Amino acid sequence: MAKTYDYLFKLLLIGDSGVGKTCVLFRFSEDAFNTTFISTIGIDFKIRTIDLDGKKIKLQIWDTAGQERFRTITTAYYRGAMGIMLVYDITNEKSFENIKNWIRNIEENASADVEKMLLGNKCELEEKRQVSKERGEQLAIEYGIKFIETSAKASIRVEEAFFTLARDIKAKMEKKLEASNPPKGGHQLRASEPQRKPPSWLSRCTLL
Amino acid sequence: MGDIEEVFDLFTQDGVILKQAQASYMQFLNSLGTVYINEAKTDPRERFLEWKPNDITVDSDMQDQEWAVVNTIQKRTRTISGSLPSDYSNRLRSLRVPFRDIKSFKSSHKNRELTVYNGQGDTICIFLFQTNCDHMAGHLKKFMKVVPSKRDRNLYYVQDNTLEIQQLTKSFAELNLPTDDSGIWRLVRNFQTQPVETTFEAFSKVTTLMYKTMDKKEISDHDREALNKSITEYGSNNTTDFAGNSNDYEVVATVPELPVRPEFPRLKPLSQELWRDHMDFEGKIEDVESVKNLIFRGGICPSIRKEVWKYLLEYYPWTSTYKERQNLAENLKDEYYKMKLQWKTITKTQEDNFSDYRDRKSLIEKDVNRTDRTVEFFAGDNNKNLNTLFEILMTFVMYNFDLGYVQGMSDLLSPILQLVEDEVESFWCFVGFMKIMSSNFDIDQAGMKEQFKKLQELLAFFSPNLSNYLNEHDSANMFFCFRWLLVWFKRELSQDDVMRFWEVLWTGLPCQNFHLLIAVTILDNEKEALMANGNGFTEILKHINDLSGKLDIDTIFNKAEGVYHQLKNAEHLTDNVRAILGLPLAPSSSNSASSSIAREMSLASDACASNGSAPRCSVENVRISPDENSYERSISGSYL
Repeated sequence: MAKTYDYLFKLLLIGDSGVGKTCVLFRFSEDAFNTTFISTIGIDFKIRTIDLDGKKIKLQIWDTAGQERFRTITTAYYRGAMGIMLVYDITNEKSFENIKNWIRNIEENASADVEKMLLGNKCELEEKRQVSKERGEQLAIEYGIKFIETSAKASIRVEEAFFTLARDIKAKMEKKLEASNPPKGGHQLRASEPQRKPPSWLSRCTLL
Repeated sequence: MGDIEEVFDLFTQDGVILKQAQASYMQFLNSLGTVYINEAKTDPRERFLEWKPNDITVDSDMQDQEWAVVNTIQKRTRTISGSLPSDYSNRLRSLRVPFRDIKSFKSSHKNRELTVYNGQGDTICIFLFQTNCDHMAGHLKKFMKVVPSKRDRNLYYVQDNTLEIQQLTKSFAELNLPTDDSGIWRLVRNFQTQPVETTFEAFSKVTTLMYKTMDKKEISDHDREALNKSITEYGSNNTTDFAGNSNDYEVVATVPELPVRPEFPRLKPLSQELWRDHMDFEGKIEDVESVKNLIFRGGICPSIRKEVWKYLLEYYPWTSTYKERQNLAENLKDEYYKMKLQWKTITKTQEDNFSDYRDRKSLIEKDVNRTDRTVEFFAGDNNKNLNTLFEILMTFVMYNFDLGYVQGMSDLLSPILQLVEDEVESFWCFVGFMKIMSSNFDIDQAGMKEQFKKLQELLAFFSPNLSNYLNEHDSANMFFCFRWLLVWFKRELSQDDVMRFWEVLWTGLPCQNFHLLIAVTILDNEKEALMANGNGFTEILKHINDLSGKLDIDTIFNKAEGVYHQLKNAEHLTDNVRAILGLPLAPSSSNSASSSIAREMSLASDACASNGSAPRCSVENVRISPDENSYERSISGSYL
């Protein structure tokens, strides 16, 4: 079976209950918005394949339940995520304050080099705004991650957010591949490796 | 082991991503690296499977001009916890698995993935190869003595991973062994007389032979016992290291078959006439078991559902009189409004200074607005029923503040409110339901984890193939059933179906944890699809989530009840399963045998422990409790 994509990226949406994770995902995967919302129980995912600089990238985006009570279960899915969207609701101060807890969760459960991005959702509700754009930007700077305000309902910058995260993961991955540089793959003898002399099929002594 | 260690690389392969490993290697997951097969020049010499990440650092310096708010100065450092391996500082960056820890390994995903198991059903690590793992697997096969699994040709059991075994030149497969019994005994006799080197070889021959013969069921119990005895005696008289390793030899037992599944066609719902017939002149329900049984077999007629639910959810005791119910209702009404008044009268300042309360309230507000909005009863803007939903959940917070509100509870209340309508009565019915469900909402999710474990055990017993498959495909945790179990299939069924589904489960018949047997039934129905195409956790979860709206509850109840009878009457039923279903345990004499078989059957491997004890639990061991007798009677009664 021919592969229909070049890369598969596993992404994860996290953030407080009701910030719009499922809606953001629905907007991105179906380009639609459902007004009869439903809370997410457990975990689900959606797929969308995008084109990025000539590569087909299959995004497998996992949507989790936001309530703290379910964290012991949902954190199991952090493992293996290559990118994480931290979502808060710009009309809900608490959801913004909790981002630091979500970051801590990532540090405890996700792989160290996971790409992260901060999303302030519901930006169409300007009249109800509790978190200014500047505070969002400031927090992102603090964590050294990118930030974007989105609206799943009004379809504002959702596409852009996912493309950016995907592009960053791709860049990081290609950099890694380049560094490890296996020209044809397979089992080859290494030309050089830090802390270790080139191994061979025959026995060779190494001091560690 | 000294500080300086001489290590030979026997084999190395680049371009290997670490997909799964012990938590202390978390930071390396999904990193690219190299795998090695090493030999340490220690005494005795030891071999390792080792993986090292490529030494590259990636910073988050991205050049995308659209993104001005990036700061790359902060580099995260991870705190090293106390639970890291003792040699962590020396070997900070490598994962090392001694050969002796490897009990089986398996290639999957078109040979791109290699999984290494520890023999207790746990994965040591998973590697993803950029090309394929054929060479790696080939070398593992060369350096360890392995046999392929009969069920999965990509799975290999390690028979011996000591270095000595490599002295043997004959490969396992090359041995042509006689299959007659005299051959076995000749070999067994040779154990006592031959030198050690020969014994190793003979030993592996016996194992092969046992694999073959056990599979064909040609070996009698008597012979098996004698053979095991001779092996044990050999081990106990021998002082070589090898004797202690006899546990590594595994004997495959065939899985005992379950009895034929009886059919349990569904009956008509409990009708108004029948319900009235069960009520005496004072309004007490006579023969509660018979009523419950009728509900279990067919549900409740919608015209009396509202009334009967109050009994099922313990708002009314079954044996209460009209008069008693009237008093009870008045008392409970008072109690409800007291609790409601408590939160209704909280001032703004109180609320501002009471974050635990605020958090609960905010969760309820969010969820009420997204509970069953497609159901007419809750549809539309400014729906007053949403407000009732909110007020009941808020009052429940005052009733049980520690449990508070957890997502999923609004799903459990919604059908109750829709049916019962009255706010106070709905509240107390919800309280009754929460008595059954509250452990699902534990702070540490212990209740859910317990259920996953039980489900796993039931599935391992009922459908070992599927259970093995899930074990081997990162799905042993059963997390994909989370939604099913948390809200009792509420999200999978229509509102009408969910009402019938729940009332059947509320009867508590035919056994404890019947909802888990329903899960087992659905999983078994979907077995083919779940195990197709080497599906992993992702595909399995998708398939399960997509079953929503496609489940036929009558067919499922019919089969699930049959499954219960199959399990109950299975000769090899284990105490674990008995305990889950609330059946009386077997007498202690056969306990150890049956529970050891339970363990074996639930293992990822298709092999049993080396003692080879055959499953032999007699039917007499399954005692029928008086309750069950009456249940059986009432079933036959309802058929007549």
